[in-house]
Amino acid sequence: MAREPLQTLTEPMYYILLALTRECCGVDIMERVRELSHGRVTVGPGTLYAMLARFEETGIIRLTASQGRRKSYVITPQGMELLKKEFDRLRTLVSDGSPYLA
Amino acid sequence: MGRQKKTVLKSFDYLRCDDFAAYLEAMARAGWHFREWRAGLVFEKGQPEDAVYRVEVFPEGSEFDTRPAVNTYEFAEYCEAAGWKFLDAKRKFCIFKRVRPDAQPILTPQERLDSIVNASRGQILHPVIPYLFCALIQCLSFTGSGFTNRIFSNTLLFGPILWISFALCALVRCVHFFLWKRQAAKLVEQGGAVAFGRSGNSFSRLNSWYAWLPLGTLVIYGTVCAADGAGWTLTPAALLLIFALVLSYCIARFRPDAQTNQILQLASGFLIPVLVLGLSVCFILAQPQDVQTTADLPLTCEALGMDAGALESSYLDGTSSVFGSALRCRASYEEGYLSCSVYRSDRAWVLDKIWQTEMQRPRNQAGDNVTALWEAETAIYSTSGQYLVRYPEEVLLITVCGPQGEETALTPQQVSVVRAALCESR
Repeated sequence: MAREPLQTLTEPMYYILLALTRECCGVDIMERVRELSHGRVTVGPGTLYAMLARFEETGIIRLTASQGRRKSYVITPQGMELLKKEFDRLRTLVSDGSPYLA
Repeated sequence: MGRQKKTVLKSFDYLRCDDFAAYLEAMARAGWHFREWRAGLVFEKGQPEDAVYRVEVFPEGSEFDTRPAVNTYEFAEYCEAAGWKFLDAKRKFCIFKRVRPDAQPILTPQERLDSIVNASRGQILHPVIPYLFCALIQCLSFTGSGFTNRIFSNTLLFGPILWISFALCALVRCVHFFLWKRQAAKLVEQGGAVAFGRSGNSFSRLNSWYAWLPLGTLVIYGTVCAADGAGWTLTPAALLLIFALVLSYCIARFRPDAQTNQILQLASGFLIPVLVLGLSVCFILAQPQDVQTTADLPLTCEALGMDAGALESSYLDGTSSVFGSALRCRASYEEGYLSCSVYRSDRAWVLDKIWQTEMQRPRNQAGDNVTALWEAETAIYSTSGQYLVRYPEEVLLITVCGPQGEETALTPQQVSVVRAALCESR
C-alpha cells in the first residue's frame, strides 16, 4: 500500500511541529526541540532547513515574519491536524502495549 | 614584514569534502586562515590555531553560484545557531568554522551522502554519452573512403584512440561511482559514516586518475600531431583553452551572481568557438600560398609527352603513418589534367582494403584488364578512364585527361614514365 506524503512523522518532524505550535524563529527551533524532548532529540541545521522548506511547501507551516534572513513560522490548521493524528497514533500504540509491557 | 594575504590555486571535488576541510585545518595550524574564494582560496596571516573546519555540499546550491546566494545565507543562519560560523560558498560548497566546542553536526551522515552524491552525479554521468558519440563518429570515419583518407596520417589515426580512451574512462568512472554509492549507502544504513577524502574512500582515491588519464592521452595526441607536422591543427583548441582560462579567471575574480555567470558561460559557449574559428581561418589565409611549379610535381603531362598547355593549378600532398604513406597529386592544365594517388604499405590488409573500396565504386566496376601493361599483380583501366594498379606494396590510381576533355589511355612508353616517377615497384 503506498504511503501518503508525511503520513507518519519521524521524531525530528514531530518535535519540529510541536515547537511550531507557538510562533518561533527558525534558528530557535533547534533549542526548542531540545527543551521539549528534554535533550533526547537533536535536530541538525541541515535537517531543520530541509524540513522547514518541505513543511512550508505542503502547507503544514506558514511563514509569519521575515527579518532579513531570519524567518519565523507557525503551524497551520492542516499541520495541527496532522500533529494531532500522530499524537493519537502514538497514544494508541502505548495503550495497546501497556498490558504487555507496563 | 611578511605577506599578510595569499591566494592558493587549489581545488577539490565534492567527493573530497573532508580532504578540503583537513587542508584548511592544516593551513590554520600554520597560521593561514581561510577568508574567501576569489580566483583561488584566499588566506590571511594570523596566529596558528587548532581550528576545526567543515566543508559541506548545500543541496540547493547551483554550479553557477560564484558567491553565497540568499538561500545559502538562510542555511548559514541555522548552522550558526548550531555552533558553526559561515565563511564562504562557491558552487555547492559551503565552508564553516566551528565556534563552539559542542557544535552539532551540520548534516547527518545520510544527508551528507545524499547531497554529495546528487552534486557529483551530473559531473560523472554527463560526459559519458558525448564521449561515446564522438568515439563512434571517429571510428565510423574509418569506414568506406574515409579509411583511405585517414590510414596514412598518424594524427587522424590517433583521433579514435583519443575519444575511445575518454569514453572508456568516463564509463569506468560511472560504473565505479554507482558501485561505490551502493556500498556507501549500506554503510550509512548500518550506522556508519562515509569519509569523503582519498584516504577513506576508494572512489575519491581513483577519481582524479579518471581525469589524468584522458589528459595524458591528450598530451600524447599533441605530441603525435607535432611530430606529424600537424601541430598547427591544435591552434584552435589551444586558443579555445586560453579563452576558457581567461573567462574562468574573470568569473572567479569578480564573482558575478549566478544568473550573470550562467549568461556569460552560455554566450561564451557560442561566441568563443565562432571567434576561434574566425581567427583560425584568418591565420590560414594569411599563410603564404605555395606556388607549385611543374618542377615540384612528381609527374607532369610534359613528362608523358602530352601537350596540354600551361599549368593552371596544382595540388600535391604527402602523408605518412605507421601503416605506410600516401602521395596525392593533381595538375590542371589549359587543355587537360593529370590526377594520381600512390598508396604504399608493407601491410597487405591495408592495401587490400583500399583496393576493395576503389573496386566497389560504380565507376570502377567495369573495365579492361591491363595487368600485363603495368607488370603488376592486378591492373584495370576502368570505363571512367582511371587506371587502378596493384603491386605487392603499392596501389596506384591515375587518370590522365587530354585536350578534348576525354580520359586518355596510356601507351607502354607512358606507363614506363609513370612507373619510374611514382612507383617503387619498377
